Order: sequence, then structure tokens, then C-alpha cells
Amino acid sequence: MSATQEPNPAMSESRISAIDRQIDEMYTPQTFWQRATSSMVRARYPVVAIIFLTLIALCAILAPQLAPKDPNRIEIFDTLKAPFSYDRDGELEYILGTDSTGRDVLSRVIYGARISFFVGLAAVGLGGGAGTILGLTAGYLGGRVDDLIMRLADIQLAYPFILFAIMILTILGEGVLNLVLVLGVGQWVTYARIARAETLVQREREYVEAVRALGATEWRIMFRTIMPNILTPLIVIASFNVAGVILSEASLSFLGLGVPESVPTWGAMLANSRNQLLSGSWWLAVFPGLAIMFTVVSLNILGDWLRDFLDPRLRGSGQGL
Amino acid sequence: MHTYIIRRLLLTVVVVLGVTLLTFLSIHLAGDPTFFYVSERASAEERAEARRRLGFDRPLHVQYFDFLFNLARGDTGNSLTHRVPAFDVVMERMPATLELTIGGFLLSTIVAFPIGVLAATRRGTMADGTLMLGAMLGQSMPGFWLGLMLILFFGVTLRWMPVSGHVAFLKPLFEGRIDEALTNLPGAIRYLLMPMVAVSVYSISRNSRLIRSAVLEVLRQDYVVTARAKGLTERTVMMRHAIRNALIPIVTVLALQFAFLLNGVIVVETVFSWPGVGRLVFDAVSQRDVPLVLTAVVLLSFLFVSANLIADLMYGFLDPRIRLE
Repeated sequence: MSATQEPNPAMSESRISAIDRQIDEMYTPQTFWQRATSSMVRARYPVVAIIFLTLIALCAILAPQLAPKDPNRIEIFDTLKAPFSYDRDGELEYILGTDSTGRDVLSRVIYGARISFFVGLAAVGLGGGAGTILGLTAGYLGGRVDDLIMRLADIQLAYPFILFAIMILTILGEGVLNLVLVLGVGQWVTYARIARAETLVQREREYVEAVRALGATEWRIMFRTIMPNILTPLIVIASFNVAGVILSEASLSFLGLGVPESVPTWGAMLANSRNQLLSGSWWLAVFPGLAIMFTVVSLNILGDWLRDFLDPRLRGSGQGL
Repeated sequence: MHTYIIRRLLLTVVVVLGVTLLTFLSIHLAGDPTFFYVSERASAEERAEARRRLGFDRPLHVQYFDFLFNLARGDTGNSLTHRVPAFDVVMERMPATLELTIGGFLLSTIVAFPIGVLAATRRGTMADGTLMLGAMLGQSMPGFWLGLMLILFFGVTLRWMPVSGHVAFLKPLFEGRIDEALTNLPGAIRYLLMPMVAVSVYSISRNSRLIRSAVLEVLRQDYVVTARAKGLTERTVMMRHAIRNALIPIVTVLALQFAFLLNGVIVVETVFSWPGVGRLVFDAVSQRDVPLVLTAVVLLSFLFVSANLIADLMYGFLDPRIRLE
């Protein structure tokens, strides 16, 4: 706004050169990634979040190499060891202590990253994909299809998700795939509603008209022409959604619904810690919880940044967080 | 207004039917539901006999209507573990769950309001930054984990608070024993305090962020600029012009939050051994007591749907623009 004003004689040389630099920056063409990086560095927190998430992702992928011990190995002589316990040789053996059956907490926390990450990404992929396609179809075709899909969405929104998950998992039994399926089904509505609303806007735009005039099939218009133009808000939602799904997964594992006992998860670790809490074994409850919280907070920070960077319109609309 | 209410009620009926249908179908997901009702050692004849007795040999739609009629009469079969009607078992536990949900709702509203308004009026300051960072953290921790941490710190280390237990308040109140309810109140609050915080931490955080953006949005409006230009004090501008108008979106979100709190209640009850429906569901799941899980899910869904309905009606009442749509 100050660019059109007369230069202020009182302005110092350095101030003017700083503004010059800013204007230069504004008009220097940058690639998408350059803009993303500089915006991220300026916001600071997202950088920390990315570093933390990379670490957790590495834990998930390289768990067998990184974990000091087998996460399921029971050591009956080493039960409930406090963090930083040394063995008889004076070597640091259990950095985060052991649980009531002598299993190494650090190794279990590292392995726990696997389930959280896999389930988070897979469920969002499944729910997001299905929701986007359904929402796009509802918005583009309209009429009966639209009514049917959106009423289904209304019903699901009115159904408390955790009850739905409890019901289905009690019936189907435990298993990673069942967990992904249930959590995925729980997510589609958000994507469908947003995809539909965006499609209703894009459908009327001239470029769609132009592609239609060129003789494109309906199928092509929906998925090749419109879809790329409605993805931005959906990507923003997805980043928050992974955080939400990780929290839901922790709740379900805590309730003992989800993966078999032999697979270490943060939620199940917390469930087991409950009985040891009164005897003061704090490490069993603190570390898995911190792992969940830092992962989720990193994803939320990233989501906040992504929203401001990609789609500032969503700010304050209650979307996402 | 009337058409709005009627349309909203009709939608609720559709939703309730949908919820019951989904729940009903889910027990058929794994194949023959007789499996859940007879012991694993039962012979093929015993199983066939149970199948007939329970009516699972009839067409699905007949079974569904039967399920609906029985539900309307409060008959959802006997709980397999308690050996009494599942409906009664769930209703027995409902007051404790309501105590926790209502407590959490009140707490999240009372705490989130000042935080949100304060952060909005001090936008960009250290206070705003700290509060919003706290809100971000609060939204990222599982409520049941906060519950465990509260038990560890205030229950085990400091020994200030009871780590579990419950004093009934709503149950005697519902049964007309008002004196007993009032005598129980102080004890009830004492036991309620930690679970209530654990249940509402997510809502407090989310609400304060929403209240902050709602107030900021209003502060940008022309009428606030006008009010300031008239020379009104900042206090009057905030109280008379800004907050009043920010209330509309806030009230809706708060009302919807009530339903949302139910999600956390189920898990948090397990942490504190709270004798509510959530804890009941947890036990029923581990014992594969399907009739009991089914009943609890349906009844809690009704609570959820009613809370949503009230929220929507309130929205329409508060904001005339919604009714005209």
C-alpha cells in the first residue's frame, strides 16, 4: 500500500532498501517449493514440527534397527525398572524403564510409532479418497444421487463415532485392517461435504464449460478437470485429520479394541499403565502419552501452517482444528 | 420458523432410523449373530435351536422391525453377563454418565469463554500467544491420558484428590430424593473434578480458539469501527457490540460440543472407574456381551441425537438468517 505513496524524506536509507528488497522478493518468480520453504521458515514452529515428525517416521520405518530390545521380550527379573536403570555391569540398560512384565518401554514406544503412523495415514487415505469421490459425484450429478449421499452423511454425523467404532470392532474382532476400515469410514463425511461444496462452485465455471464444449466425457470432466481444482481445502483437512485419527486410534487401543495384544501401541501401553499407576510407576503412563501428544501437536501445527499457506480463506472458519 | 422446526424434526426421525438400522445391521456383519448368544461349545442342534428362539432365522427386514418395536418398549434382550434386561442395566448407569457429560460441558463453557475473549482482545501479545499455545497442546493430548496424569499427580503424589470412586447426585435427584441429592452434592463434585477436567480438556481448547476467532471476526466489522468512532469506551464496545454479536456462532458450537463430549466420556470413565455407561460398554466389549453393547450404543446415540437437535433448534432461534434458508 505504501508503494504508491511519495517517498518520505524522513525515512532512513536502510528502511528504504529493506522495502526495496521486499518488493524485489514479491516480484521475483519463485517456485512453489521455494515459497513453501520460506513461508515455513518464517513461521518457525512448522519447521520444528517437520523435524519431529521425520524422527517419528524414522522410528516407525526403522523400528527393528532403532529399538534397543525386542519390544515383546518378557524379563521377569527386570519388572517395573525405573527410567535410566543400570544393570550390574553399570551399563545403562533401560532408558525409559520397563513395564510390569519387564518389557522395555523405549522399544515399545519406538514400535508404537508404526501403528499410529500406518493407521493414521491409511485411514485418512481411505476415508479421504472415498469422501472426495462421493462428494464430487454428489456435487456434480446433483439430484437423487446427491440427496442419497448427503443424507447418509447426515446420519453418520449424528452417530457418535466412537460408539460406531466400538460396535463394529466388537463384532468384527481386532486387527489392523479392521481398525483402518472403521477409522476410514469414520472420516469420509468431512471430505464429502467439502468436496461437494467446492464442486458446486467449480461446476459453473467457464473452464468446465470449455472442456465440455471440446467434447470431454462426464467422467473426464469430473476427475480430470474439476478434481484438481477442489483438492486444496481437502489436503488441509487431511493434515488435521491424521492427527485426529491418531487420537482416535489411541482411544480405541486404550479400550482394548484394535490390534492384537502382541503389537505394541501407545494407547494399549497407556491402558496397561493404569494398574501400575497407584504404585507410582509414572514412566509407564508418561512416555507413551508424550509420544502421542508431540506427534499430534506437530501434525496440528503443520495443518495450521498448510491452511494459512494454501488456503487462507479457511482461517477462522472452524475447519480443521 | 415452523417449517424449520418441522424439517429439523423430520431429519431427526430419519437419523434415528438410520442409527438403529446401522446398529442392527452391524451385528449381522460377522455372519450368524447366534454365535454371540451361545457358548462356543454348543452343538449344532443347540445352535440351531438358539437361532430359532432368538428369531435370527427370519428375514432381515422382519427382524429389523421386530428390533424397532422391542426397542420402543425398552426390550433389547437380556445382558449375557448380568442376566437381566440390558435396557435396565444401561439406564441404571445413565445418570453417572450424564453427570460427567454435563459437568464437562459446564466446565468447558465457563473456562473457554474468558480465555477466548482475553486472547482476542490482547491479540498478538504474549498473553494471547501463551493461551493459544496452551489451547494447541490441550487439543493434541488424549483426554484419557490427561486423566492418568491427574491421577498420578493429584492422586498418587500429592494425595489431594481421590483417584477413583463416585458419589451419586443425579440418580437420587431423578428418583425424587432431593434431600439426599443435596447432601451428596459436595462429595459428588469432589469425585467429579478430575474426570471432568479430563473429559473437557479438548473442548476447552477448541472452544477458546473458536471464541477467539469469533470475537476477532466481529471486531473487524464496520459497526465496531463506528462504535469506536463515536467515542465509546473500549469496555462498552466489547460488551455491548462485539461479544453480543460473537455469541451467535459460539452458542451453536457450545451446544454441539455437548454431543461431542460423549465421545471422550466413554474412555475417561474407564480411567477413573466411573460407574457410567462408558465403563459398562468397556466391560461388555471385553466380555463380548453383544446385547449389552448394542443397547448402550443405541441409547447413547439417542442422547447424542437429542443434543444435536437442541443445538440446531437453538441455532435457528438465535440466528434468524438460518430459518429463512
